[in-house]
Amino acid sequence: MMDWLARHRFPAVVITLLILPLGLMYVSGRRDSSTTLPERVAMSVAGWLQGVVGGALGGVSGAATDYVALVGLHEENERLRADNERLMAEALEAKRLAVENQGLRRLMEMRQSRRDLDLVPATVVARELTPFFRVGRLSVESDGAPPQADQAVVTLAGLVGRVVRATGSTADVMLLGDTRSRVACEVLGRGVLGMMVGSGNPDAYLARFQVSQTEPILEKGAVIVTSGHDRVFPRGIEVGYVPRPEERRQAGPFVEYDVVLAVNPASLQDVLVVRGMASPMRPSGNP
Amino acid sequence: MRSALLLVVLALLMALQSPIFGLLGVRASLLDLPLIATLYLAGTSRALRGFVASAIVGLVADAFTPGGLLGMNTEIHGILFLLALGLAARFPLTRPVPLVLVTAVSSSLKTLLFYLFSILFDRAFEPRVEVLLWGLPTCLVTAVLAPLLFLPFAGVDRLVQGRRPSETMLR
Repeated sequence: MMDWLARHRFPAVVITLLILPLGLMYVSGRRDSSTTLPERVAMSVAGWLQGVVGGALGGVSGAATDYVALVGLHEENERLRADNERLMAEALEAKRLAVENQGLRRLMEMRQSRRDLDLVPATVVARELTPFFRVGRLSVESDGAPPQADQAVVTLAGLVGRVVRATGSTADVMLLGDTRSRVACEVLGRGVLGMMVGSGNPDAYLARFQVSQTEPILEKGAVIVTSGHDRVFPRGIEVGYVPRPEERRQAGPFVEYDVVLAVNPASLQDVLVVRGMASPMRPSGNP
Repeated sequence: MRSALLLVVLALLMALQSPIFGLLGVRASLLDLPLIATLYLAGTSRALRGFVASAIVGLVADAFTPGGLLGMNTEIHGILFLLALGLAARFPLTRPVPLVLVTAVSSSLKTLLFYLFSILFDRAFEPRVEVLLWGLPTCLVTAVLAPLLFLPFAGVDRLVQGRRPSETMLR
């Protein structure tokens, strides 16, 4: 047996390493399954490395900029330039802090305005690295319960997507533009129900809103919000709007509208993960 | 040792890819670094070691591909290594022109394999022809830049073994 294996080592290894991934894919592809151990390990290691490298890159680029700016100048110019750099850096830092503060304030406003939701802040650590999926990776900043699959991810502007895989404080978020994305939605103020389906288009952040043929034609600029019927996304979160209803088309038993999504994921830095509905406040003093 | 270093370099490059391309305002998915690593292994390694290393390259790619099926890149890179090994016997992958052509072919095949495996294993996958087109920019950019992308991996060889697989490149 050992002799046979030694003689046929290459085909044996090839067959083994081609069959094993098929099993992994089968397990990973079952939508009902939770995150498996190999997925958790892979996500943890890659997520950690992406976070560390991303942070280090920011520091290195800052140091390199300072170095290049100061080398080869006369002493006086160096001093003046240093002063200028320092003041500029302070101004830029102040501006950066103001922008960051504004973003965080918006997130805080969102948390305040949606007290019915249990929201936890998160930072985007990596964006899509494949042309086929519209998925990003988040690092959730929370001491509480870690994120879980099927939790919604939002910003003040609207819905971002949902967690498809999570381990520790890292989560993969399927964006609304992914072809596999499905969100139960309604037209704000009109009660027309439908399904938002990702377009997958890598060059434009679009989705398709499918409604029944019996529904009236939507007007230009109709705002689409989540209906909450899928029990994944809370009701009333803005998803996008219909820019050109005249370009609607037939898609099987549905009428399909293009929808411009409310949130552009390319510029996302901070988001909120909806961990669930907030527990109702009990009046104090009750027995 | 050599394979482990190549994998570490690949993981670091992939971790750098997203933030650097983000700073440049370019889609990070335009470069397929794991494919380059697999082709490099096919052009410079022995069959068995190269195949195992390529499968691990696929696993690294799976880890860095949020939303994908774990195992898909492992399978694809294993298959691509075997293909590239056959092609490397005819076309020297350390020369720019054959490398660009082999990269283009491999990248196209990778897209087709992704489509096939997604249909077979990903229950949420919606088979649409456009999906095949989305891989086209990645295929073109990766193929054109393949000779340059070989250099970090060639650097590892130079460091570890004193080998110079890239000596003939870019001539």
